[in-house]
Amino acid sequence: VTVFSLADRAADATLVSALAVNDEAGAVAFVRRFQGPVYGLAASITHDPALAEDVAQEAFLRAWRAASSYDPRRGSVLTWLLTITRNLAIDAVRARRSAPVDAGQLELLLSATLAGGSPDGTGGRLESLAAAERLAQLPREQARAVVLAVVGGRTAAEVAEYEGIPLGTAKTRIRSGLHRMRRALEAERD
Amino acid sequence: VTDWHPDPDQLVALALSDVPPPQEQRLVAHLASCAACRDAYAEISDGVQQALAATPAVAPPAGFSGRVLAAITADAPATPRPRARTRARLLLAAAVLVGLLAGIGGTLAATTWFTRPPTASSSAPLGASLLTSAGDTVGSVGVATLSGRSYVVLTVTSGRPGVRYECILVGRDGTRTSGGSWTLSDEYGTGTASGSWLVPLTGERPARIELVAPSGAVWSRATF
Repeated sequence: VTVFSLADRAADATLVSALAVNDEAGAVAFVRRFQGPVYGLAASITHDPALAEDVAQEAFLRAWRAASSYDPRRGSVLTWLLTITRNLAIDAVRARRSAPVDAGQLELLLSATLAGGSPDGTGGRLESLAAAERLAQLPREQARAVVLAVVGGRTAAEVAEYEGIPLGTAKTRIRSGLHRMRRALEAERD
Repeated sequence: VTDWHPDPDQLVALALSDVPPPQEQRLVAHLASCAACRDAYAEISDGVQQALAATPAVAPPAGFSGRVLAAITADAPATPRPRARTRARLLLAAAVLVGLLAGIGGTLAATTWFTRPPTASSSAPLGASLLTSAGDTVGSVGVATLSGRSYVVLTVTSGRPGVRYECILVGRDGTRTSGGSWTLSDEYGTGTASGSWLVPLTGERPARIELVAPSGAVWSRATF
């Protein structure tokens, strides 16, 4: 029986290296590997399929330009790419001043994020599932606030309005939730 | 360095891009000169990254990867001028880096920001090889525990693209349970495909995992 580690971060970093040296097959593999979460985040922030595709495409383009500066010690490829995507999506939405998102869509986002895994129920990336698990273990109101702010791209004021709570309470929930996420990860490493 | 320090909620707002540009630049300028706030910011930013990783995947419209590749190929060296917000973010990255290089308060930032171990698993799971009947190793199977729940982790390194495989969990008493099915896509144009999946585990660890092709034939199996 062969014994090995199941961490797949090294494989992700290898794909970024392929991107950095203009390896076309590597670029295709990179896009296919991450397009689901990247498009998912763009869609959850913009709530506009056409704009989400523009944002997702631009995110991959930025990643391609910045591939040589990716440092695996700073974080996983997934979170690096999603950070780029989030910034682009938020800029796009604020430039456009989109209409408020309806409650049904946000509730769908909340349940999908906190449930974890891929929509067909066969499981998803280990890293995504682990993060969803940590989120689901937060106090419910903190988990909701963190998902709305981070994955939904809502401002603290919008979170307050949506949840029907004072702005200060929304900020506290977001801050406490993020703090707990980090603590949970540290506890798992110990 | 002034006596003023941003409160934690302002740092959270910065990490979430939820501050207007003038305030953003003031915060970034402060972080450049204040190691304590930089460390606090790095911790918050770490929490944001953890939450981002939970983003639900959504399949993009058909042809998406082809369009991205076309855009990459067509991308000219000339890039647009960064806007104020982008510049502020670049400054922020530089500020964290400067703290590291100077070694002033950079040690804590280094441990929280730069040297994260793989986040994939809470324990170091061990596994068994996934073998075809011909004895070729085509991947691996293991059991990992995340936040107290167990999952079978399947990693296929050389599968056949386009074939839908069903994962069968075989118990010690011979009971067979489906863990779901999926199709691998051709990633490198080499005719082989790879991927990793999780299957939530209820009850005890199975004795064997089988990947079954639509014909009912067992393509590969792993025995614990």
